[in-house]
Formats: sequence, C-alpha cells, structure tokens
Amino acid sequence: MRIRVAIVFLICLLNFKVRAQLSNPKISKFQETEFAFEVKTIDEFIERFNNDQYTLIRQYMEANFPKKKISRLDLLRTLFNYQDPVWSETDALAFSQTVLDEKSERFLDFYSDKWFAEADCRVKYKGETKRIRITLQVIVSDRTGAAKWVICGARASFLDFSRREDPRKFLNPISHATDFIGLKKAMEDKAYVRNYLTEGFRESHLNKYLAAVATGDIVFEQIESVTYHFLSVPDWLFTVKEFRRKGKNTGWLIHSLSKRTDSEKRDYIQNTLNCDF
Amino acid sequence: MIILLNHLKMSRIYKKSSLWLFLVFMFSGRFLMAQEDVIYLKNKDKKFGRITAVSQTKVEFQPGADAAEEKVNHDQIELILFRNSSFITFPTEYRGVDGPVENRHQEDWILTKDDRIVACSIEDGESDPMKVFVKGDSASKTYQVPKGSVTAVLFADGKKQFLGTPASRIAEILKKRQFENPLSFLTAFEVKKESAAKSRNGSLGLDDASLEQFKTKSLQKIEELRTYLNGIANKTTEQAVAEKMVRQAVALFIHDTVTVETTRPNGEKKQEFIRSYLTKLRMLKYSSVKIEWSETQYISQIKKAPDGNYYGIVSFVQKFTADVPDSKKVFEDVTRKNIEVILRSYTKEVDGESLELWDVFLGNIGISASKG
Repeated sequence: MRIRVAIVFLICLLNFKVRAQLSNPKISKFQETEFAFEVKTIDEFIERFNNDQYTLIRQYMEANFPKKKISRLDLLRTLFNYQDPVWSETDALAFSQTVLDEKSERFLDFYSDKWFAEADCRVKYKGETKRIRITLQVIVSDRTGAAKWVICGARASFLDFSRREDPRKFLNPISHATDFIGLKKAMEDKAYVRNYLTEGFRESHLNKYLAAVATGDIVFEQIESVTYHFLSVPDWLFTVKEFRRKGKNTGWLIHSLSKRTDSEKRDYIQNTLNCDF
Repeated sequence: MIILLNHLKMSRIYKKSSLWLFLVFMFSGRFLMAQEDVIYLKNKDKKFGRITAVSQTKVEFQPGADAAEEKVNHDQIELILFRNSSFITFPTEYRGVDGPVENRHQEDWILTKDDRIVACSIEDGESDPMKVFVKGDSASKTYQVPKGSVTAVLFADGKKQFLGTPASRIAEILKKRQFENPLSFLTAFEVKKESAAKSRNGSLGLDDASLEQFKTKSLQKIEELRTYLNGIANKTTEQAVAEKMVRQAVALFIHDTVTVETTRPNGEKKQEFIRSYLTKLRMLKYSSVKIEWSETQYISQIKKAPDGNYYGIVSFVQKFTADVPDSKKVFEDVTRKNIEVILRSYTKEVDGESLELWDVFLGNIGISASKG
C-alpha cells in the first residue's frame, strides 16, 4: 500500500515543476518538430506509404529544408519502428522492393477490404475484468461511396467452449428412435459439449460476445490498444501499432512484417483475426 | 535499384547512431555533395571550379583548391551554370561571383523541346522516367516524364542534366526565359494510379476549392475552441461570461453528446460529454490556466459516411500549464489531441431557390498519452 502511494505521489511530482523553471507556456520548436515527424493517425501512415505530396512531413520538410528532396523510399523508411523491431532488414529490403517496383508500384487503399483494425478491449464479464479482441474493417457502399467501420470478428479466451473430450460421451446412432432423449443430458454436460459437435465446428466468439452484451453479462469498459493488419501488398503481411514515446520515430509504425501466401492470408483472417466470413 | 540498396545498407548504420542523426541523414543523403560552377565554352569544352570574378571582358575562376586561377574571355563562353542554380548567358553585364540572384530558382526546371521552361519538383532525377510533381497542386498529382521528351533539366540544387543537348541551345532557352504552365505541359504524363483510394477521393463530390475551404474552416473552429477553453478555465473570467463561453463552445460541436477523452495520472482513460468536460474545466482548482496548441497541425483527408456527412481528423500538440494555488509550483502536461471534424451539408431556401450549403462542426476528441 505504501509503495502504491509512493508511486502515485511520484507520478504527480513528475508533472509538477517549480514555477521559476517555467519560462514559456508555448509549444517549443522541438515539440513542433517531433509532432511533424510523428505518424499521428493511420490516415497519415497511409498518406506517407502512398507518397502523397500533401502529407504533413513533406510540407514540413519543404518549409524548413526547401532544397531537400524526399523520395518515396525516404517516406517508407519513416514508417518502420526501429526500437526493438519485429522485422528483419532482409524482409524490409524485399518488402521495399515490392512496394517501389517501378513496373507495379504498390499503394494502400483506405477503402480496401484487405486491411483490418484489431481493438484490444477491456470489458467486465459477470463482474470480472476480462480482455476481448474485436476486429473491424471498412466497408463502402457501392451506391453512395459512403464508408464505415464494422465489426467482423471477436476473440476472447473466456468465451471458449470447453475443449475437453471423452470418447464415451456421445449421442448414440439410434438416438433418433427415442426422439433424441439423450440431448437433455448432453446439454447439461457442459464440460464435454465438444463431444456432441461436428469435428469441423467453428465457434463464433462474435456471436457469443454480442449475446452476452445483450443479456448484460458483458459491459464494455475501454479500448486498451489498437493494431492494424495490412494484407493488401502481394506476398506480404504487416502490422502497424502506435508507439508512444519521445523522439521522431514515433506514432503509428510498422511493428511486424512477414511473407505470407494467399492461402496463409486467408487462414490469418479466419484464425488470427477471427473474422466471421 | 542501386540507390535502394544503398539506402537500406545505410539503415544498418543509422540504427546504431542516434535517431536524430538518422533522420537528418535520411533526408539529406546524396544531396550533400559539393557542387562546382561550370563554364561551357563555345568550343564545346567545359571548365569546372569556383568563379572568383566576372569583369567586363573576362571570367576568372579557380579550378581547384590548390590550382592557380584561370581566365577566360567572354567571347569564348556560351554559358555559366553556378553551383547555386543561378546562371549567366553572354553577353552579360553581371559582375559578381555567385550568379544573379534573379536567376536562381527554388524549383527544378525542365527545359522542353519547344524551348520553354517548366518549373516543378522532380523527386528522382536519376530515374527515367522522372517522377515529377507541382508544388501547390491541390490535386496532388504525380507525373512520370521520360527524359526523351525533354531537352534538359536544371535542378534547384545546382545539378544539371543536358541529355545530349549542346550548351548553346540551353543558353538560348535560358536567354528567352519563356515559362510554360507546368500543369499544361505535364498533363500528358500524369500517372493513373490503380489505387481506388485516389479515384474515390476525387469522387467525393467536393471540388478542390471546397476541400481547401473545409480545411481552413476546420482550423478556424479548432482555434475558436482553444480561445473558449482558455476563457472558461481562466479564474479572472466572470462566471456569467464563462457560462456563455461554455454554450458557445458546445455550439461548435455536431451535438452535445460528443465525448472528450482524458487521462488520469495513472494512465486510466476517461470519457466525458463535452458540456460536462467544459463545466469541470471551469471548476479546476488552479489559480490560472494556459492552454496552448502547436502551430503545426495535421489534417487528414475527409471521408464520406452513411449519414451524408464527411469526416476528417485534425491533430495537434496541446500544452496545458496551470499555477497551483498557494504554491510556487505549476502543473504542466503535453499531449497530442485528435479532434474529429465533420462537414455537414444542408439545404437553405433563399428567394425561392434551394441552395446547397455546408458548415464544419467538431466531433469526438481523442487523446494520446502524456508526452511528459
């Protein structure tokens, strides 16, 4: 308890400065510069990736260093996280070559169905704090061109059916003759519910989550973090996370990068992002 | 490809050095090479060095640091291109060593086949076709210009590519100094990106001027909000005035149920409705409060939503400074704010005519963790 009080006190203390030290309440030039370099939103990430001419970093460099030329590769390199990266230089080189290929340059499309947001959320489940990952994607109306984010999947370990199996537990092949009299018993045998399902059964955590929200068993609290998954660049999959720290290599940056075939990507959408389609 | 490999090899070195050095090098890279003045002679020869004097009849220059100065008569020279992108053609009245200021150019120049000059920005002059764009082009188009379709290129950093064109012709074009509208020259070389995002942005139903107006108006509304926040938080503001400011500030938002995200000292996030947030701001127990926002602000492209409105994001740094009563201490907090901006169109009847009008409102306010 004492330690906790001490930590809280320390956090508060760090935010206080002696008035004499505070000469200027304005944003410093240094802070302005860090802000210009930071990738502030995923929109800005996509702008830089696509080498858009009006993206803030380009405007900032043109205003402050008018003779410096910024290539698409320069912008691409500002999008990688260099602090404890989860990508290899070899992969980064090959990925850059794919993206910058003069015959077929690659761009990211905000309106594509090949990228996803994964929100790590904190919820209260029957009064207990739990985590659930909700996957979202952008859908666009062909008629109006209007776009919106929609939930396409969810995953939470506490929503898993029991995976226990017992070969002695099943509905026998003559159950129909008794109008499935054994079904009541099977449904009461919650720990072995898997025994009564098909082998290829795929449970939808999203359905279970929404049902629990409807009954009030789950109460949404807050989003802890967001990860974006991009699958639109051929043969590549990369994730983007927000890195909050001081410096210029900050904001929404490439966290991981790996080679994936089309079938691996389909598997990733289904089993990692848990999308229900 | 060699450049690409070099850049990536260099990244291994950068990672070991400080991040600042990494960024400085990244954006300067190959542009740090020293440039020389070049004298193009009528006999097709070239002289390299630093011009040290231009007199009435002669040009003096130093070919190298340890080399003796040399002199060339005006009547032998076709053209001089200075290292800073300036130039002189002959005959000339110019007397100096850095070239006439009016001949320096901040943009790259493409000299066209019909002897005109196109001012533009060339992203990669070493590739063919060259990737070109026009500064201030609100459509942000990219053009790919094959070198075979131009006479020469003079870069703003003093580099030059004559592409086999004799110096005498370059000198003639520079002497005439006839500029062509960049967009009319470059239209034929426009890159049609496959990216659907590009075409979709163009089909938003808003012209470029309206988009610019949207951005300007968004920033105006944000600035209005900052003014109200300072007024509301300031203890010297009379209560009645502060209450009016709360109402005026709420009116900037699309509705009064938009939420503002705040963080507690333990990092816990909290969401509040805008009116409640503003009311609590008034009740803060500081003797004075100052809220400053960065001059640099990011504004995203806008996106159409099913409600018919368009949504964008404005992002900036906020510095919150407050004096603690009965103490010599101040509370200081620097955070990044993301504010949704919403363009809402509406129809107004004026003199029996229906006019399509629009206005900009603010939406939810998100926060990034404190930057200390």
